[in-house]
Amino acid sequence: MTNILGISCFYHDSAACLIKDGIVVAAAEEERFTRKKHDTGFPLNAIEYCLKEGGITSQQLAYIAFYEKPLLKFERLLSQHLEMFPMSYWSFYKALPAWLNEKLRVPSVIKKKLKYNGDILFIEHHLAHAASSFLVSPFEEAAILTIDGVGEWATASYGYGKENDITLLKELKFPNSVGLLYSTVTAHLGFSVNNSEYKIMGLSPYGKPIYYDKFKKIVDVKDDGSIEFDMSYFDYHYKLTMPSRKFVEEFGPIREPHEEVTQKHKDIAASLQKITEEIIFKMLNHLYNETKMENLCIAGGVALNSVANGKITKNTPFKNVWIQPAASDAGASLGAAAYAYNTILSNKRKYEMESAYLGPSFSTEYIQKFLDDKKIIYKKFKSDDSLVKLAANLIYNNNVIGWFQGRMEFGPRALGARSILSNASNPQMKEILNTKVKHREIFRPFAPVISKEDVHDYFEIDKDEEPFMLFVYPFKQEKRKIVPSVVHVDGSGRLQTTSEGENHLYYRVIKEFEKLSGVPILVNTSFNIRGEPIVCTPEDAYKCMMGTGIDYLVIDKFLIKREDNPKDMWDSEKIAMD
Amino acid sequence: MLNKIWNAIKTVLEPIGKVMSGIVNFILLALVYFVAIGLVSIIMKIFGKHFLEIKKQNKKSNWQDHKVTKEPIEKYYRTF
Repeated sequence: MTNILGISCFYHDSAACLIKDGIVVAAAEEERFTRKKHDTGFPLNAIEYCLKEGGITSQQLAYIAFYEKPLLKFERLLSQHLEMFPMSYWSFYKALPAWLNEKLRVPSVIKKKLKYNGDILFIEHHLAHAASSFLVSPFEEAAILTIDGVGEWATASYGYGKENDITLLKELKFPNSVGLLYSTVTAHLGFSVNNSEYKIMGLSPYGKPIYYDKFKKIVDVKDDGSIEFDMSYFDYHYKLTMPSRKFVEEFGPIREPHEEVTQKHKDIAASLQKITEEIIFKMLNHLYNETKMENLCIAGGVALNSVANGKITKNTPFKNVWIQPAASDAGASLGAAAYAYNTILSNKRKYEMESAYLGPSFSTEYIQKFLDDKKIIYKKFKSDDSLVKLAANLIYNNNVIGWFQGRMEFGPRALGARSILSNASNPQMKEILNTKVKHREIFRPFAPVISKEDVHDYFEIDKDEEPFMLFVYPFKQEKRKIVPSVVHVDGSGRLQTTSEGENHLYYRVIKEFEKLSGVPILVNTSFNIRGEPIVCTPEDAYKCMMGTGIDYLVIDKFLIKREDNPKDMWDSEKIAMD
Repeated sequence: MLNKIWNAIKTVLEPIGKVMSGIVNFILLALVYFVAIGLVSIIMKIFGKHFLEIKKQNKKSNWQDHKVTKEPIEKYYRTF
């Protein structure tokens, strides 16, 4: 038995993943356990969970695979300071202690924290990203593109995968980075970096790309998709802030988080999205010309840009696109472990990632004991049939349902294991959800989940399924009025499809809802409030419901009505943040 | 009783310790930065060496060769 643990940490979205004989048995982000969004710390809780799920101890690991080469990254950091001396002092002062304490001592930190004496393999960051997508994809061979903020030196890379081997050919180097451009604008628009980039994507359809030419002044986009920045518009290579004074002169003052989002902000977001898509499609067309492969795997934080993803097949010759649900750094833990098992150890691939349900689950007995111990008033369903019928009925009657079933998702999307479900056909549902639970910016859309067999009736989509909610597609014109709460301002939706085989209870609720409403679509949003990670345990779920306006919690075989239970001292209004 | 005294001492000393470590850190890091980094940076710049490509090169393509393929396992033990 070859057990390999993959680890990613110390930058953002720390995570761990366990592969046993080539099969991914567990993967989770540390934030779900520590309740600290995008937790950067050593993922001890996630590792403990993975080992427990795999039924092993750290001594039974054949290898630990780490998702980057720390010294190469440190070399880049030093280069920044050598180049930018003396202007980079504050950033040096802030960053160096963490490097000396942890980041430069990764082997000893791992060995000490895990009481592990075996070998540690260090996989280049973009190679780990590439592996996280290709090695668990359905393809025997595929072209590969990785794009993120920055790894060691690379900010993007491309190559191809064949069977269990990956070859990367070229890379873009820091400071030219699509991810960092997106983050710079995120910061300029008053949102948090490495957290709220997806909000800018959601904001973009409200605007017109009238600042596109200004972006073209900053970013030289070559014919092959490579980019070259005018760095006088950026500060991130030597400061803790991202847009420079020149950027502010060009685009106006940095928006304060409490300030209103104006049409100008929306236009900037639209312009950014336009140039981002242009870069991605040019990169992909170049990649196709180099590889002539029809299958494509993408990874890295920019691969979470679902708006661009949904347009790939229309704008490039690629026929099939696959993206792993935890496409950003969390997924690189999976990539590092898969690369170690399949490529370094030359084992054939035998795992295809068809599900993101790789996190913790809780038994019926555990949940009942929790409910009894806390004296929570609940109803126990006698059968799955009665559960799905009642849940669908509650949703049809415009209740907001917390849905907690089975293993937690790996990656940033709630896919029917830790979700909030509601009535997509109610035009007020977006406001209801925002008032009752999410407290989020009004411009942000809610996502639809649809039964797989109905997807072509509702969406203009070029494939039969989208289980990971990573692609945005237009709703068919005539269907938009039927499900107003999940149609974005441009008529699109970031859909998830599901089927009986993928998640039977989730699927059956949708079909039961269809019997009542005639619509096989629900609103599916993550089970959390703004600023909190998605819930992990029954306690997290119960607390989230009691602190918000979620009406019911359907957890395993149990139904809990919020109004039946005393409200805990847990004020979601205080916790909700960016 | 001893515990209480110890806790009281800790309560007083902890913030002082934090301030002191902040000052020491600041001084040491400033020395490293302005002496080591600074000297190397100035000398290398005199010789025309650049550590980052922050000036536009106006190249036709900015993709850089970086062929990565499978290597012997020993290479993956390295942190560089």
